[in-house]
Amino acid sequence: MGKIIEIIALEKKYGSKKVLDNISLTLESGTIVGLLGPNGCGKTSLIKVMAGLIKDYNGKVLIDGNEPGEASKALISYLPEKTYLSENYRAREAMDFFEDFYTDFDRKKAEEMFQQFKLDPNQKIKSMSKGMQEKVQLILVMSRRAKIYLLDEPLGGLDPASRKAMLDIILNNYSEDSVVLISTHLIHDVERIFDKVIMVGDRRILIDDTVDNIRESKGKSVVELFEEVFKC
Amino acid sequence: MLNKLLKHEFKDTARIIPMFYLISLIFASMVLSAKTLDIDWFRMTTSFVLLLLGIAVSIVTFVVIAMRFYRNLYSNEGYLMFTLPVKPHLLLAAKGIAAFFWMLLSYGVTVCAFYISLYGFGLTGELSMVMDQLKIYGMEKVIYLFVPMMILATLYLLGQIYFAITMANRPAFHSMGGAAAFLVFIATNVILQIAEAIFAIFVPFSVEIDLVENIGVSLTSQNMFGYLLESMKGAEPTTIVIGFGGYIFEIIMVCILFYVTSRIMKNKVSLR
Amino acid sequence: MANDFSSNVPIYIQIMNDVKLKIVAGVWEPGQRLQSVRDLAVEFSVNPNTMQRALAELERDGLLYTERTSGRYVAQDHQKILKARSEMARQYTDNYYDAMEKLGYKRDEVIYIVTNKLDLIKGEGSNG
Repeated sequence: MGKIIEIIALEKKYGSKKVLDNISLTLESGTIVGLLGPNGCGKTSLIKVMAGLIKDYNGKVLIDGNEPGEASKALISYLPEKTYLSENYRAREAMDFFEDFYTDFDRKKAEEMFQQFKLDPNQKIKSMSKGMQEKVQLILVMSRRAKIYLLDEPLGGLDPASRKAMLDIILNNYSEDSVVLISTHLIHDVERIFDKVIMVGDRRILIDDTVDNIRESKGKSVVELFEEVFKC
Repeated sequence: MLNKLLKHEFKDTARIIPMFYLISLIFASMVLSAKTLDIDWFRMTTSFVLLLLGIAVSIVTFVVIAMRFYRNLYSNEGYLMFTLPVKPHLLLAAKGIAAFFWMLLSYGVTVCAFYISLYGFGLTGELSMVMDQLKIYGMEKVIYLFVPMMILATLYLLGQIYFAITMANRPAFHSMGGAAAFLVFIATNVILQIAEAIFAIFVPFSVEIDLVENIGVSLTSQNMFGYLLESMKGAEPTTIVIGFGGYIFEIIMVCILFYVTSRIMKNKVSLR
Repeated sequence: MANDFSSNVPIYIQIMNDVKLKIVAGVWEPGQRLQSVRDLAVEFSVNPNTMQRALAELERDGLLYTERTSGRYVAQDHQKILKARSEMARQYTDNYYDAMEKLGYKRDEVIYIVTNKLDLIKGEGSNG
């Protein structure tokens, strides 16, 4: 249980448009954290900064004591909201790729999950449905024994049965001493898996507290608090 | 890590580029069979197509390489590439090395296609006449100068393409979309050409080709300016002076372009 | 119980209730070995830390116990299980009565409704 991610006064602009403003937070090992907020409120940008995909930010970002770079990228298993596998790949080639570059990739685990979800490793990514592609990516990402999992909208656009399956993959496979950050705008029935939630809206952090604290001190569920904070 | 990056880079590019070689090969064999079978119209058309293919192979390879660079690093796939635990300059190096390899191979295919196409047209005789002519002047070795020139030109162009695509990913250009890379490329190219011309003309280090007395090639410390001035006055030149400054400029710029590109990739990357 | 999603009750307490129900109802038998925390967390769709906390609380209540090497078991102490069962029964009864009171029912009316319900069940039982 140590601070593994520390962010102090983070700011990110796209041209003159500010998307993150004075964000400070810490994440601890051994926890599952929900990053909640409506679409387009800066969740993805925040995760991209941690993943090392955005380098032109202001402020301090420390991943296990280092700024985002090769060292932090080796610790982070990142699932973007997009399909980032080459369309020409077969699922098996995507596994080869992960095996080559990530020393913590557990190929056997990945292959077992492929079987469990009846995915054909020889099928091309191109010919898979959106839901299948998302499953393949999540399996690859969760087959790493990483210290940090950054999962950007792993449940978006899935039917309830698949959502349950995706949550099971996450809960079953993350390493115990790691931190799992899950961003989502669909919070019904996922709040039970979080230790802590961070609500981001209008470029800033609005709430950063444990789920039990929110329930005890505010007398509200996270869903209710979310609806109150982001009243439309 | 570079070897792993190279492995995957070659594996991915090998899905497309060799196809163009295969098509060229098919037409080359058609030219050759037309020649032996002596079918005139077929020989002429296939030779002509092969000539065009020869040009196309090198151009298309460049296009494929540029697209690949954009797609693999700055579209969705970039999310995977830029989160690999490797230094960004290795990503650039892997792309550059693989691209350079394919370009040389494509030039080779182009040269072969030209030769076979000339053979199809029945023009190989003329080709050897040109060579003989050069030999008379003792300049057959000048041909070899083409090799380093092509290598330099290729690296220079690659450097500009990679720089332009990487620059176009900066947030300032995001609103322009896909056209950004193209515009940045044109702008850099124009600026570099002007700078290069200035260097070529004024740097006092040139090749002098003597056309009249003792015909031959020699290095000289004069610059190109005087020569250009004289030829503008309409004087019949006895020597041709070609400035080396341009080439020196290109070598320096290749280094700068690759360096700046890798710096942007390391410190300023900002994927959409 | 699973639907009892009171907003102000911490999730670990809800999980405790879910688990308690399994124990007192005998779904989990006395002396039975529990799955790993992670597996239970997946089964209940809940954070493993929350599961761990709920199980630790139940251990303190004496409904579960841990053998250092082999894992966690359901308590074999029937007295304790029966006590937990009657506690839960009283809780449900209280809740029911409170709710009926809120609806404005008088004591006699409640008795009437409950008796009616029991007769109905009895009738179904004898018919079937």
